[in-house]
Amino acid sequence: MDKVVIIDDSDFDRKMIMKAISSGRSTVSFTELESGENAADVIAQECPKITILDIRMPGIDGFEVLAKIRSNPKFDDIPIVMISGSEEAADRALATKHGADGYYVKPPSVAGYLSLGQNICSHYL
Amino acid sequence: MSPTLNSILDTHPDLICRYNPSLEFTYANLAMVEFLGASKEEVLGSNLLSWYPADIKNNILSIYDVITPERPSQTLIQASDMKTGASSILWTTIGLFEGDAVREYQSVGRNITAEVELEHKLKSQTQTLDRVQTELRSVLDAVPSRIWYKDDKNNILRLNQAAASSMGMTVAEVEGQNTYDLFGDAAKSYHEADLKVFESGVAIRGLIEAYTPETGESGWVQTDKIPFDDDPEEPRILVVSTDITELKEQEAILKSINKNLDDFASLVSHDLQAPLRKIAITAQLMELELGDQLPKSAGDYFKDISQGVSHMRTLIQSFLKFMRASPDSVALDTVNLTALLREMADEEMTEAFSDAGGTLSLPDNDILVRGDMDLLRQIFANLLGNSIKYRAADRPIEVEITAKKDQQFWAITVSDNGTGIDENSSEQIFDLFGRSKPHKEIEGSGIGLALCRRIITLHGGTIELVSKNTPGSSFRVKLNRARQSDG
Repeated sequence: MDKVVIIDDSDFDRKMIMKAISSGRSTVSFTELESGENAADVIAQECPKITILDIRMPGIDGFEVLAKIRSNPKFDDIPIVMISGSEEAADRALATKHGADGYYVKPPSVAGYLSLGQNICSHYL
Repeated sequence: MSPTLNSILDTHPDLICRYNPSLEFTYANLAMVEFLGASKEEVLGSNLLSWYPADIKNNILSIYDVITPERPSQTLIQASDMKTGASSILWTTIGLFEGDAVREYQSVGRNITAEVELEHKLKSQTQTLDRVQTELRSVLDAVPSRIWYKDDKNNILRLNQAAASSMGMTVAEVEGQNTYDLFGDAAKSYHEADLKVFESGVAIRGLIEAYTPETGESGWVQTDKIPFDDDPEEPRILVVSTDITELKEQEAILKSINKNLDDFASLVSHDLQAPLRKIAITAQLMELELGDQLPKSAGDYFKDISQGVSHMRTLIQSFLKFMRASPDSVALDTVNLTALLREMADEEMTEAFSDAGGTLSLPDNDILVRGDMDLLRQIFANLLGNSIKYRAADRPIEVEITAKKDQQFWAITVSDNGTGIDENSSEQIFDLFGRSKPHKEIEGSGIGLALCRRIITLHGGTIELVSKNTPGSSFRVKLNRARQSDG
């Protein structure tokens, strides 16, 4: 069973991401984190096929979490995609700079989420 | 007189002569003869008065009235015009010489004309210098900047009133003092900067530094330090400081406001969109998953939610654009506005005008302006979009864009035949969320024209609503002409 770690402070967004991915792939197990504080430990334990990481979170933001994970070579093979509530060119550039494998904008519709789920499944699962 | 004495006296530079009580010369040395501009033969036996103009003869005679055996000598300084036309100032001692039955006057004079003239000149120059110094002091004291002359040992040689007042002291109290005694520890950094100027001989300009005199008020100054190279033995610098404390405070306030604006833009961008997304998606999920179980009228409610969310999203995006339009966001370049408008007409507007039933007329001439292509596109998309949105129901839309040169600007006019705008709202429409009366019925963000004005202002241009005789509205946009368009 493919494992997916989702790090997002929004309960609603985590649910939508899980719903979107599950609609395209039934054999996926999810680990949800509300913040990135223990992200490295959880990723080390779960060895997920992909980590979906929100950018704007209270406390440690997504870029800090990403930088911390990418500083450890043992996580080199784990894809990390960033997800954000808005399209910001600066954020996209920063995500790439810190070693993110992808950048998604949280869609404003159900159809958008389904498309996002399909995209993640086809690329990473 | 012996030939030897005669020879000695002839080499003497003073004017030496003797004359009898009738004032006839009995002796004149060479200097005296030359002074009179004559030969010895001409002088000897001649009357002293004959060498002077007639009108001063009485003055000369009066000198001899006071020379008596009791007071046999008089020293005087006389300014005389000679008969030859020459003027001279003589410092003369006239004595009464009484010998064996001989009574003569003996005069030893020195021509001090050059010395007196030099003294007059010096006096005049000193007066001029005093006046210049007074003027310079007045100018220095009238200048609001603080001005100091310092040496390389941090001594204050001179300063103006503003500099002294800034320390709560008088000019006299500060002059000659050492900066270390007046500014404590802060003097070290002032001295270090001074020494850099002394060593390099190059002025430092625009130095921002804290100003912390031990007396007076602390603050911030912007300082120029300019070296004098007129005297290598006594190097000095001119220090000119302008009080920028208020500017620094305003800068801090502005930074704080900008930080708040950035935070607010971030809030608008992210935090306001998140709940909106949640509302939209939840409504969609309800419709998808529970639609069959709900009454038919629920469909209208979902439609209302969707429209409301869509409008709110447009508002947020427009507001975000408005918030983010700042000087840093403008990349000025030469833009061919005619080409841009044609491109917009082809790509974006043809369909819109076709759907609305109307025509768009563009200028034929090349309009080259200084602008940011993307932002200019946004301005004209807004104006043309408004023409379509606020079209009159009873006639096809007609929009005409014309341009003409106006001093350093291109004045571009966008006119339509739509519903027009209430003239009383001509300024209000450019306010954030300001909308004119007839247009309030039509959905809009109230940000479009405010954003246009903000962008155009950032371009150094203007936008205004201009009145026209025919129905519809007309906007005049002024943008700086690019240099290529001058020809």
